[in-house]
Amino acid sequence: MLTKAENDLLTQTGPGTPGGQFMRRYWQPVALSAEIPAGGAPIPVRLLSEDLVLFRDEKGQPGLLGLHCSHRGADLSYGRIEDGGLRCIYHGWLYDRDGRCLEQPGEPAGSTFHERVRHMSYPCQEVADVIFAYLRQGEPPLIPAYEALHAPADHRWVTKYFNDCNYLQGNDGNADAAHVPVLHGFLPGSDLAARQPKEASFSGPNYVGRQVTMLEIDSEDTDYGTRIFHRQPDGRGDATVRIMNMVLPNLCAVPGGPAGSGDGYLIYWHVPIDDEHSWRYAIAFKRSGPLDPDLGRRRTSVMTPDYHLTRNKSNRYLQDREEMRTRTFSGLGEIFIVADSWATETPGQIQDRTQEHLGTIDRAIIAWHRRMLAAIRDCQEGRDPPHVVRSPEHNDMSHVLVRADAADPAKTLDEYRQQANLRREQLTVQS
Amino acid sequence: MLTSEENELLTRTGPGTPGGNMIRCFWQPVALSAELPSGGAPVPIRILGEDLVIFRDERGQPGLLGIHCAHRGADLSYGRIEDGGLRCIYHGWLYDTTGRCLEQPGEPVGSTFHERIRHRAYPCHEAGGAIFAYMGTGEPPLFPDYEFFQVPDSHRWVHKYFHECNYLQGNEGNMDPSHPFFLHHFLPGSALQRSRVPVDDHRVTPAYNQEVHAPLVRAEEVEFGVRIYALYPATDDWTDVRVSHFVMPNTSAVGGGPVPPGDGCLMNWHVPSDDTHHWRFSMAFKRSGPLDPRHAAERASVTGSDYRFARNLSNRYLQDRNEQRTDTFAGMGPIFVVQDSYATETAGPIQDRTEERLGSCDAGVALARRMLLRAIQDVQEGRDPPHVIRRPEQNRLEGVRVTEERIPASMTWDAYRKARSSDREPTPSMR
Repeated sequence: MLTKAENDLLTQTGPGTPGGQFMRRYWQPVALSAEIPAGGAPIPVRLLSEDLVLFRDEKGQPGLLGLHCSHRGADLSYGRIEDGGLRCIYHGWLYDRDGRCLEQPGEPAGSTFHERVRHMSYPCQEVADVIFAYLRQGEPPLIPAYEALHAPADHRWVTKYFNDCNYLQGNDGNADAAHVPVLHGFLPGSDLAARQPKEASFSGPNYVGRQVTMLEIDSEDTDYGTRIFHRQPDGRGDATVRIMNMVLPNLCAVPGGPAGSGDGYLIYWHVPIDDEHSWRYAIAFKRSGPLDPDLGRRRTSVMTPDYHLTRNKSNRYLQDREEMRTRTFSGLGEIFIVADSWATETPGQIQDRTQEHLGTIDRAIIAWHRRMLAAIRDCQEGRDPPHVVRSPEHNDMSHVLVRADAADPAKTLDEYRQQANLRREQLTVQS
Repeated sequence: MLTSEENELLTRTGPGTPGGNMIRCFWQPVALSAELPSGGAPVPIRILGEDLVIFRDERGQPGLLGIHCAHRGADLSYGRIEDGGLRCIYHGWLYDTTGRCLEQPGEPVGSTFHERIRHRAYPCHEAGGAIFAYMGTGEPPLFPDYEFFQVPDSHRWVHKYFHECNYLQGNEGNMDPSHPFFLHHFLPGSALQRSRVPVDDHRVTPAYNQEVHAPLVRAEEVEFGVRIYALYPATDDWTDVRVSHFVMPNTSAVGGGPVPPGDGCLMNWHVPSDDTHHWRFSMAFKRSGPLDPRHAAERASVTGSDYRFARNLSNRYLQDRNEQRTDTFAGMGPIFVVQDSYATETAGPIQDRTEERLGSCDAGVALARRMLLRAIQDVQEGRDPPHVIRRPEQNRLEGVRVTEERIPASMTWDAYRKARSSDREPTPSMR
């Protein structure tokens, strides 16, 4: 449970808000590369409550400008890509990626007016088929070198999903592995129960007999955020231990995605559109080899071409009560992202965390929120918050360790955790 | 006409508002029994600005809970009906109809956390094909024993309609015996009038098919609300008198609907969904025998499965100018409740009553508002408002009867009023 003031700090990210200034200290995904193919149209994007236009100039470089033309406010996303920039179709003003106004065809020859116009622009970088932007003035830091961002293109899979809610509740769901055997549970005896994902003991029907699942959760602060340890007996005498990460300011690195345990992981990056809507960027990779190209197709089958889920709040996620009796616990189908959207969106556009009751299984969420609040305080006091990386020697992210392993059921979580720490080097370099 | 402050007091009914506290002193219909078939899904509803979920547990008992799970706010209307209550599909928390948390499967064995959770829950009472709830604090009053609840199922009909406006203007439409002569008027020779299901052998639906003329309207306050008399000159020697009622705090008992004159009544409960939307629960009964089932079909035909009108504000009620020339006064088809929607909704989401001009036909409206304002003051000062029934002897509500009879034209309203009170009605006492 948070106070209203704390909840506001964590959820409000518009210009000028403390949470917004915190988020603006870091690079943020602004679009998938696929959204602005070479020669394609500029696209309007809303990011951290700012209306912007993203385009690719004739040299293929992405640019991110204020949406409204500096002249009289027309929408630049309708503009023409030509002559080294983006040209407004109203009076022909031409802007380059840096916000310089190159031409004003209606002004008298020799006018220097265009030199005095500096349009709002933000630096962009393209990494791993994602375009990142830095929405702040001053020298940008480095984009953290997560392993997922540097896997070969055919080992990697990226997409994004629209979430009809504040970004934070989306990311909170990632810190909560306890929901998996419940929300994502397949009913015993159903056709799905036989089709377990790779981490069978984790994603399987652990809700059998509605026994208490005996979860153990612990967490520790790291330089990048919060590392979570999670031990879950499967009810059949075995246990799974996971190590996963909440990463400042609005992402996570967790087991899952197309790779098996230890052979890659999944990043979810929850980017505010405004305070009531967000994008969930998914970046998955497989360390040992190329991904099955069909996999991405299967996962995107639940989406419209504009990255919205076909099962959503407006159609009550097409929940199927018959399926709830025979196949799944939730009636929300077998693609987990649908149920996850339900879980994150239905608490409301901005979850009122003064009304929640966090229990033992939520201790990682509590630790994560404290970590975020401390980082916001750093910004308010004029310091760089943690995980703003300014030099290449500090940009080794191999300790963003993600694991999901069958564990010795006799070992406690603490014993396992100590072992993991000891073997960290070994675990991260294996391939 | 009201002051802006008075209008606010009467129309705002969210939690903590003076008007909301007053309405919460009374049992309110919140759903139709038919919406919760045995074994059916829980239903999300918004009542008095509160987001709630209504469900029927395995024993058939209705329960009304806050829609957001006490844990982390997910939507309980997607939950599972099992194990003696409603189970959230996110982490499996289980609630009974009284808001007790029976299980928290993710918490450690032996945890008493669940005993310390008391989820928002309101008492429910099922009667006459509807589920009523008491959303106030303290001991609920007795359930009002209107005649509607005493007749066999075959003698009554219940339905609900969604209105896109504040509840008060919906109910004020019932207190106005003048508008039917205009708004609901069929033109001479109307084919649409002949298409209606007849109310009894003698009359084709309430006959406003005479020359357009308005009644003389008189009103007086009674224990449970306001009694409204409408006097119509029938012949040179006789006057027809119809008596209807405003019933505290948001209900009316009127003639019409599927009921022959004087042989029962139509009770319309106008229940706030929020300040700019409300539900009209229509409950009609025929004292002398079963209702023709075609009435229910006719009256449901104007709404979809979600109880919203096919003709509504967004499509201008499909008003037909040609129909206005040849068949009906309003051009909105033959069903009166559609025309009433137009009349109440087009005054605005919350009618600005500083801008109205009440005439003599609005005597009932004016008295009802005075009574409601006093009732709000009663509650603010710690008293029960009028018509909150605490003792069984208060629960004899014959005074709510709706009558229609013919009196000599020479008889004054005052003489009739006194004769009617003394001859036939033991209960009502003037304030």
